[in-house]
Amino acid sequence: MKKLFILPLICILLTNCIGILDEDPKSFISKSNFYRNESDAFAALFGTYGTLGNSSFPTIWFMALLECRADHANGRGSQVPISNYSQPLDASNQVRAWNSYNEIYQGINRANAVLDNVPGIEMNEETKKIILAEAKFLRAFFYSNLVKYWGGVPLRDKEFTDFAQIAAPRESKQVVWDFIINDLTDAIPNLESSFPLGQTGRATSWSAKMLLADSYLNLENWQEAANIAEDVISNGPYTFVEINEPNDYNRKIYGADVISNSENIWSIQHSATNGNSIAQFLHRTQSGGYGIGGVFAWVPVMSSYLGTWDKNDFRQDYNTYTFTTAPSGQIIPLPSPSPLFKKYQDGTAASGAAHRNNIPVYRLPEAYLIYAEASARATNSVNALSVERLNAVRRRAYGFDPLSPSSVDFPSDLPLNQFIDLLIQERAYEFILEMKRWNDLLRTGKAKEVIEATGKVWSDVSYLFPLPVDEINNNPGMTEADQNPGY
Amino acid sequence: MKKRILKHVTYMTKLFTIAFLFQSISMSLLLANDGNAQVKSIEEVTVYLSLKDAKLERVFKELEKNTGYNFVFANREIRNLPTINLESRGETVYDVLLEIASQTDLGFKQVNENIHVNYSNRQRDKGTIKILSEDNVIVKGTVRDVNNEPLPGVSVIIEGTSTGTVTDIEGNYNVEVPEGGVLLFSFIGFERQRISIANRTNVDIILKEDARSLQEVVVIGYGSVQRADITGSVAQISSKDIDAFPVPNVQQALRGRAPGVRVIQNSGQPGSSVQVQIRGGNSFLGSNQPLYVVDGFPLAGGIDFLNPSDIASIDILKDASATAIYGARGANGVVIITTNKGKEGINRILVDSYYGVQEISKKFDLMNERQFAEIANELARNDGRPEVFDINNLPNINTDWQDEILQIAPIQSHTVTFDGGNKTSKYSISGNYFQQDGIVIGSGLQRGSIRVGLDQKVKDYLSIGTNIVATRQMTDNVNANNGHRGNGILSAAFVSPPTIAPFDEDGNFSEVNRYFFSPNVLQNPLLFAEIFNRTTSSNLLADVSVNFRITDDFSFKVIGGIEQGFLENDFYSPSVVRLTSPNGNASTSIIRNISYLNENILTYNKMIGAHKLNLVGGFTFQDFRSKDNRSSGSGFVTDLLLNNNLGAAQLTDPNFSDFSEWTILSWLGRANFFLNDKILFTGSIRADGSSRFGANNKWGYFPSGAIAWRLSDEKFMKNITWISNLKLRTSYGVTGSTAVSPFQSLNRLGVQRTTFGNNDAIGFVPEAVPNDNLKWETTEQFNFGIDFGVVDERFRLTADYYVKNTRDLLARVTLPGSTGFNSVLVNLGELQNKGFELGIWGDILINNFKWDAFGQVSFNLNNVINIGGSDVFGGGLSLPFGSPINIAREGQPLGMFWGFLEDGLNENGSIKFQDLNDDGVINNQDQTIIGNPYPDFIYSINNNFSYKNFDLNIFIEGVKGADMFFATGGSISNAFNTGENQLVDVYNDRWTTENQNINAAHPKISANTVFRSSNRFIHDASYLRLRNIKLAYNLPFSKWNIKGVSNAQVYISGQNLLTITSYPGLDPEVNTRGATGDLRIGIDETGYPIAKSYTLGLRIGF
Repeated sequence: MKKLFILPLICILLTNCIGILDEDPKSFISKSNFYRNESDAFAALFGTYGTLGNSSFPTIWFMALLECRADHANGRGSQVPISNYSQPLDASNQVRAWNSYNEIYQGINRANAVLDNVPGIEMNEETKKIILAEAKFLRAFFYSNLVKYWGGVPLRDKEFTDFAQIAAPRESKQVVWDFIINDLTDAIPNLESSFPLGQTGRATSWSAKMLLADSYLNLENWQEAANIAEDVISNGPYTFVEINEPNDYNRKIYGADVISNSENIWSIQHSATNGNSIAQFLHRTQSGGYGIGGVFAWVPVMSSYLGTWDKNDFRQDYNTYTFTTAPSGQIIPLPSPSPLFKKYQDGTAASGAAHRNNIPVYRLPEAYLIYAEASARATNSVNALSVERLNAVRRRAYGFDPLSPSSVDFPSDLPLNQFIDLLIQERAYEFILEMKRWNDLLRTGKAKEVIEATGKVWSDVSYLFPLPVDEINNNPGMTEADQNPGY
Repeated sequence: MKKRILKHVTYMTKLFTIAFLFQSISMSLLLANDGNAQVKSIEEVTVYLSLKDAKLERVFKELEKNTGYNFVFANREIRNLPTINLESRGETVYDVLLEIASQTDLGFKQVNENIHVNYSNRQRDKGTIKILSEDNVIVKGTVRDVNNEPLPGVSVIIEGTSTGTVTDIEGNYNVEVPEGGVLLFSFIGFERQRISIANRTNVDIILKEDARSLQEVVVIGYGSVQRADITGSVAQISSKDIDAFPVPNVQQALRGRAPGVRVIQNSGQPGSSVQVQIRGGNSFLGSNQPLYVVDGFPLAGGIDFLNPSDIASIDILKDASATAIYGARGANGVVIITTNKGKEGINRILVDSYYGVQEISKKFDLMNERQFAEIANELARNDGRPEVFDINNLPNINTDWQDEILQIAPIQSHTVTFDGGNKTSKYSISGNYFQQDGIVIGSGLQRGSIRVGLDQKVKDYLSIGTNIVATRQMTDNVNANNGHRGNGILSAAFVSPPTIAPFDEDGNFSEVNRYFFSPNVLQNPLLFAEIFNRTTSSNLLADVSVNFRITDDFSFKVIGGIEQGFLENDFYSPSVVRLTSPNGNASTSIIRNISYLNENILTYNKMIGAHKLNLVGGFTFQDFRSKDNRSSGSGFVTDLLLNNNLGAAQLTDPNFSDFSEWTILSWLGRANFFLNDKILFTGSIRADGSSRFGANNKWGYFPSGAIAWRLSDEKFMKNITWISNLKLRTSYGVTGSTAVSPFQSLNRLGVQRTTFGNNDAIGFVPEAVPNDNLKWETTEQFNFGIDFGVVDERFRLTADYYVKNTRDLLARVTLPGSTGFNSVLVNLGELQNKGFELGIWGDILINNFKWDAFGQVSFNLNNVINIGGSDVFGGGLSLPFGSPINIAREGQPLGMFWGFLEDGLNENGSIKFQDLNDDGVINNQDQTIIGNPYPDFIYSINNNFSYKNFDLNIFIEGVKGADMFFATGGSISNAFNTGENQLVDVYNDRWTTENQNINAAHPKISANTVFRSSNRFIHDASYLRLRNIKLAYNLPFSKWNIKGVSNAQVYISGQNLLTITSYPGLDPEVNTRGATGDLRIGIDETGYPIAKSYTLGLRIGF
């Protein structure tokens, strides 16, 4: 008889238990209840932008690899091997290259997720077009960084949701560039031409045009590159920022308080809560107002062009420093190594990862310099406008009006070779620590010569970064033979 | 129902020595009969009864019902006697018995209300009826053990009755016995004694210890059985072994105590995690930790919060027949912990205290100031830089940074236990304070705990019990493990230049990252101890059980319980730690875990003739919730507030919170059938439904079966008297492991922050590749074992061979990075563990000088059968290795070391790596398997010696044949790559431009010398360790006639005093990546070494 009261007890338990094994996540979103409205579409797009964050790509490791490979910086500590061109990267820097590669693809997958899922959302069609165009721009930007430094890579144009998609062969550089150009060509008509200040960092049609011009430059399609650069210069809403002293670069262009400026075409924005840690890599712990320093991992190479830089060029003074100033005003010389790089600084940062400096990707001077280079190369001769465009950038750096002749102008009758050398040099001065120099050396074939000129031993293994071993091991579309030479 | 038990008194007396718990219950039942004092003569009581062709059992049962007398007989004796006819119309019991006697030849003997059926002497006493209602006499005496120490709490029962008493604190008893009666003395852990009192009124007896008796009770899942009846592989560890020497937590007390159990202490840092592996690891991803069950409660987490002194016994379920009852959580074995319970009749106060000091057992032999300066200059010359030091003019600083961060550290523990009880209530209440400072400054642990265990018999058919453990534990952590190039306290102490004093002239922490070659992550080692990093865990484990006796055979138990853990972390890094927190950095976080449990278990026990049947069935429900919050900020004007006011931070980081939940529902059933007590069968099944798995695989079924044959009880073995036990066992079963975290099967999107303008925006991005088919890992285990005992169990042996196959292995399969994901979680592949384990126990000397010993050796072979054809790698290591060094490859043990083979030095002093694929370049394709992190076998030997009042314990433990990856060498044995101080060995035996010795152990000193994860860093980490040596003196208070103290012992002991190993690191036992839950095993990356310690202790009972 007593047994009878057990049964209801179990029954009560059971009725309470129906459906209890279904999972109901509360701290994240399941795909089945996402991609349903306009704000989901924006969230998916913003997540794709978020790839441009602060771990491997583009800062800090990708940038460390590009800047320490360039002739102007030596890696310090564990980054020493990046500036050693005579042998393959050591294991730890290979991992940094792999992680950069993987993060770029993470961004590509996020962009693909937008492109696959947002079209099905019922929302304002105009807004939808803009979102899809921005995703295509981002995908193109991600691929451009792969193709520049790893060579041809696998192409993925669908979100990865199923194992069946796992195989993807390594494509040629040309196929990847074509894909990039195709994405950009699709995106440009649908992109917004400008955003309000608070939306700085979102891609406009001008951002896409800069990337397109950059792509044509890399493909040596000079005429297209020149045409698009000219379009940006003539039709874009951008003007040079006026520079009257070295510190104007900090106050008006690169400084932590600058949200945007009149020459900013596209930048990766940072805030204190989504900061970057570049300053920590540049400065020492006692950085004297340059922000939270630390490991001073990138040391200027004075046997490069840095050693012969004209002191009247405001950029020379702005970009390196040899002493710090204590709050009392006392000058404290830097201990060895000296000088250090100065470009990114945030004196008010609360922690090493809280520097607010934005990372410029495309600025108006680059449109000028792309035009100058491409138009000269397209015609195989130096034309007046190309010299004028080069001079504009140079004049601004010396504090002159960019658009009026000045005492630092280059003559207009330079032979092409010399003109290109001066132009590439000007790009180095203008874009130091903006992730441009290494690509310039690679695409112009000057890498070996420039590196050897700084007294280092060159090996061809340094042309490309290694593909991740995991990519080769686990992608059925690839074999060992697909690895870059030397790895 | 009480009477029935009395009738089976012979059976029951055997049974009540089984378990302490059972003993208590049956004792209560027996003693509950005390009231029936008035006994009428059998010649006065009359009977009305009519039975035809009735079995004797039925006859006696009817008579009991009609008369109130109890019949005492053995079932098996009367089973085969002929049936009888009985007709009684008011005749006396005496006459009825005469009638029965005439039909059966049985004799009867009446003792008070009991009528003993005399079968064995029926030829002699044919048909006699004795009436023994003699006068009672008072018998007094003292019960002692062989050491002459009084034994309190011994049951003293008058044979054939329910009457009895228990001994008091001084071992004295006082009982009324019928003249010529027999007293039964019994006490758990001691041999039972049967004493005929004859005409004596004073009976002193000595009870002998019987710790290894076959009647020992072994707790298995949802029940318990006698050791003799075990069909599976179960190891038991007694409280004596658990608190044999100071251990900070219970897991460490398991080390070397049971065959097949490997305990890996990941690090010597107080509060660091300990891995327990039973019969090897089954899983890539899972912790491979066993399921811990404390007083019936299956825990969601570990058992760090328990005080080792509170443990009464630990039973380790190893084979599938034992663990399958825990279904989807049983695959890694089950550790069942029983806390101390009160005993009837004695109220005791026990104090257990020790104090000890710990120190490091080994330091690295590093370069001194001059050697460092020479090497630094050599680096500069070799790399084309100006020299740094004027060798002949060094400042004579010569700092050994290891001395700066090491300390002699106290360890202490104090436990007070109150326990006792009466017939209906028992209690055990204890409090403990434990404190351990680390041998590295800035680390340490404090714990306080209280425990309450209560049992109450409410009604004859109902008893209730509760167990509550509440603990608060504070751990101060210092960043020690997994450091490289000076970014942790140990790493910094190894690599900091001996040319720099700890403090500068102003008394500030000196800058050690001072030279052009210095590692850029290096900080002054002392700074790491300035960082406040405290973890406070508050645990509560509470359950209530209600036990109904529905009938004699049926009982039903309901348990309701709650496990609650709050894990707080407080962190503040002051501004003096300039490299990582120049403006101060603070965080506070709390994780709240709550688990509810309900179990409903029905048990059925039945004797069917000479066969026993035991059935268990039930339904359980357990729910887990975890909530996590973290806030942090940086930029503090003052360091005074620590992390107590995050509002004072200049910058507050985005908040973080998380919630997760999972539920498991289970049906379970088990049958034990004991055929003639010789052949034992066990079958069990559990059905588990777990929310963690994919939609297509919510329920799993886990069956098992086992057979054991007690050969020694067969007729043909009975004559071999020196064999006391010989049992063959075999079992097969299926268990599971829920190694997967909640929500893993879903297509998840996670938060990704980005910035536009100067404001952040939140996006959502794909976070995982979905997998609806995700399910538990299934482990099938076959076991064959033998139990063998000789000379009354004086020497015992248990040997087991097992094969475990785990399929549907949960693996995080690496994806090509181009997919946008690093990995995906799938059920893939198969892993095998097979092994052999042997345990030997012996009471080698048993007279005045006693020696008992336990030895065990365990072999386990692990083999990856199938992982879909491609290799799987573990996570990477710190610089200079970077890449993974553990590999899972088919046909190999899981997590073998993977790397390059060296071939001496080349003419430039660089390391020559072997070009295994002969393609002319050294690249990742030249890697191969370079070492095995698994031991060939592990072993331990425990010896207890005693002579008079002295006890000596010597406990040796060892591991043979395991390799270790000495990742610390990547910083301190790396040709001064980035200016780290080096082992003196590097200085002494290196390639130099002057002496271009290609056979030198160390290559050219240069920043460009390339190191890879090569066999250079693989070392044999076999060791033999004197885990404990302890000398104790038992103070003979009773001899000194000091009342009130029942026992007292003082001891001195030493732990880890001696380690024999060729391993070059500080400690061959560390496993610094052991807590990461991936393939990274056998790695020593600046592992916090295990200390040696000296302890002084006191145990005293009142």
